[in-house]
Amino acid sequence: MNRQDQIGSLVWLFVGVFIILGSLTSLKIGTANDPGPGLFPFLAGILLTVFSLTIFLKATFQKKSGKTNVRDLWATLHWKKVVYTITVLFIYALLLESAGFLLMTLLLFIFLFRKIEPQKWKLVIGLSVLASVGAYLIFDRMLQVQLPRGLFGF
Amino acid sequence: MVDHILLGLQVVLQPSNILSCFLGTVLGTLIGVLPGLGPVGAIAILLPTTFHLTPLEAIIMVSGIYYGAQYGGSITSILLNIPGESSSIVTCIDGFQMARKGRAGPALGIAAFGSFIGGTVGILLLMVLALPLVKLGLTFGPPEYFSLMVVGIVLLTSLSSRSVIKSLVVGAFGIFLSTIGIDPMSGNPRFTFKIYTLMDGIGIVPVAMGLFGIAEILTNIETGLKQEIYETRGLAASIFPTIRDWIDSKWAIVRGTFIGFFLGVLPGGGAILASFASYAVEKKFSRRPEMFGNGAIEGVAGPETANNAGAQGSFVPLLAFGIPCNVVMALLLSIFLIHGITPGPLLVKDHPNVFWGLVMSMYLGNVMLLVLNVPLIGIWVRFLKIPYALFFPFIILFCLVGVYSLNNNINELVIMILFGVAGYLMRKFEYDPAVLILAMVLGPMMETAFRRSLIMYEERFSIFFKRPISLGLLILAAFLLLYPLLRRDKKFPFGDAGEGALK
Repeated sequence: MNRQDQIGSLVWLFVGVFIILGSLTSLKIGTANDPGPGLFPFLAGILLTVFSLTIFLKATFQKKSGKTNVRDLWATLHWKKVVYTITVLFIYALLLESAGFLLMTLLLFIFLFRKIEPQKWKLVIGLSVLASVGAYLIFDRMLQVQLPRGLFGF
Repeated sequence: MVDHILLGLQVVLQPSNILSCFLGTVLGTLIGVLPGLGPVGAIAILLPTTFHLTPLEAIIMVSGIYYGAQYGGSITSILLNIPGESSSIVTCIDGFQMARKGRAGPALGIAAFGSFIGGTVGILLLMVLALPLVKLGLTFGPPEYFSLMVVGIVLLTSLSSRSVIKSLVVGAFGIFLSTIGIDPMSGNPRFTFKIYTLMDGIGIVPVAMGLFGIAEILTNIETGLKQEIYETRGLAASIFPTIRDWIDSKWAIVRGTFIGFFLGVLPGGGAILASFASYAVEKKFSRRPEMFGNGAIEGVAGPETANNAGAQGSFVPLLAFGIPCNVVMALLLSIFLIHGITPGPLLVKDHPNVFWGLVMSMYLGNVMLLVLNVPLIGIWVRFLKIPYALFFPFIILFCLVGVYSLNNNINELVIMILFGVAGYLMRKFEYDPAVLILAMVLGPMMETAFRRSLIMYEERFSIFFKRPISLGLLILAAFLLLYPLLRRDKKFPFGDAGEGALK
C-alpha cells in the first residue's frame, strides 16, 4: 500500500467529481454536433476522475512501497519555515492595500531575513530598508506600477 | 531567403531590439548561474514587465533568457556541483570532476564554445525546417490542431520522470482550470462562483509564478540550500580548451547539436531531454567510457551543446504550428497572444518582421553570450558567492510585485500564493507542475478547436478519426500512452521534461 499516493489521489478524485457535478448542474453540455459550454469541463472532469481513481487503486493494491506514511514526506526537513512563509505571504496579501506597500514589504523582508535563515540584525535592517525603498522607487516611480500607498499616503 | 535574413537583420539592429537581446541574455545567464531560480520562474516573474515593451522586444528578451540560461547553468554545475538549471544536471557529473582536478577553466570554456556551436547551428536548422512545416500547418483544420495538441500534452506527460498517470491527472486539471471564466463561444460564466476576479479566467502569470516561483522557494528553504564554491582563482586565464580537449570533444559537439535539435523539436522535448540524451549517447560511443564520471571533457561538451541546440529546436513547433511544446514556450506563447500576435503558420506571412527578427536576434544573442561567458566569466562566478538566504526574499518580492502589477488586484496575489502551496505539495507528492502550465495554455486553444470541429463538420466525435492526419496523430498519442505499460522498465531514462525547477 502506498499511503502517500492514496491521500493525493483522493484529493484529485474529489476535485474531479466536483467538476463533473458542477458542469452537469450549472452548465449546458449540449450535443455532439452542438457542444455547449459545459462539455469541455465535463470531459476534463471525467478524465481527472478516471485517472485519479486509477492511482488510488494502484496505490491500494501495491504490495511493497516505502511510502506508507504521509508524515515521512516532512521528516528531517524544516517544514515549520514553510508554514511560516506561507502564513506571512497570506498576511502580506491581505494587509497590502490597507497598510501600504512600503511598510508591508519592510516587515516581510525583516521576517524572512530574521526568521527563515537568521542573519545578524544589522544586515537584516540594512537589506530590508534597501530592498523595500529600492523596490518602491523602481517599480512605483520608474516603472509606474502604482503600488498601494496605504496609511502613509506616499 | 536572403531577403528575409536581411529583413531580420535590419529589424534586430535597431537599438531597442539590441538592448532587449542584451538584457535577455544577461538575465538568462544570471538566472542560469543562480541555483534555485530557473528560466520558467524567471520568465514568469518578468512577464508583467514585458507588457510595457513592443511585441518583438518582449519576445526577443524572453527568448534570450531561455537560451541564455542554458549557458549560465553550466557555470554552477561545474563550479558548485549544483545544477544551475535542470538542463545542466548531467554537466555536474563530469564538469565538477574536471573542476576538482584543477581543470574548471577548460570545462567552462568547452561548455561555452559547445553551447555557441549548438545554438547557432540549431538556429540554422530552425530556419531550414520551419518554412516547410509552416506549409504543412496551413493545411491543418481544427480537427488536426486538436489532435496535435493532444499529442503535445501526452508527450510531455510521457517524458516526465514522474509517473505518467499522475501527469495525466495534472494535465486534466490544467485543462479544467483553463475553462474557468466567461466561455468565449457562448458567453456563459463557468465555475466563477460569482467571484469577480474569476470572470476573466485564472491568469497564467499568477499560476506560473506560484507553481514555479513561490513553490520552488518553499521547497528550497525547507531543505536549506548550502553552497560551497570550488577554487576559482586564475579561472579566466585557463578558460580556453587545449587542442587535445577540442579533439576529444569534437564529435560530442557534432552529435550533441543534432541530437539536441531534433529532441527539441519534438513536442514535450526541449533542452533538458536533449542534455540527458546526449550524455547517454556519448558514454555509449566513447572509446574510454571509464573516463565518464571522472572528468571526461566530452561529458561536458555533448550535453552543453545539446541543451542549446534543443532550446533552439523547441521554437520550431511554436513558430510553425503555434503549439508550445514545453513550459517556457507556453509562456512565450502567452506573450505573443497578449500582444495580439498569434504564432503559427500565418506568422511568417503576417508578421515577417517578428519571425525573422526573432530568428536573427538568436544569432546576435549567441554571440553576446559567448562574450559574456568566456572573457567575462569572472563576474558570474562572483554571483555564485551570494548565499541563497540573502536572495530568496528578493525572488518573493519580484513575484509579489509582478503579479500585483498585472491588474492591481490583490485577489491575484492570493491565487499566486495558493498555487505556490499547491506546487509545493505537488512536488512533495511527485506530480509534475510543468504539465499543469502547458495544459492551461493549450486548454482554450484545444477547446476552440474541439468545438469548432464538432460544429463545422457535424460528424460528432468521429470527425477526429476520419481525417487521416488527425487520426495518425491520435494513434501516435495512444501509442505514447500505452508504450510505458508494455515496457517492464517504467522509468523514463531522460528525467524531467520541461520543468525549470531544480531537482
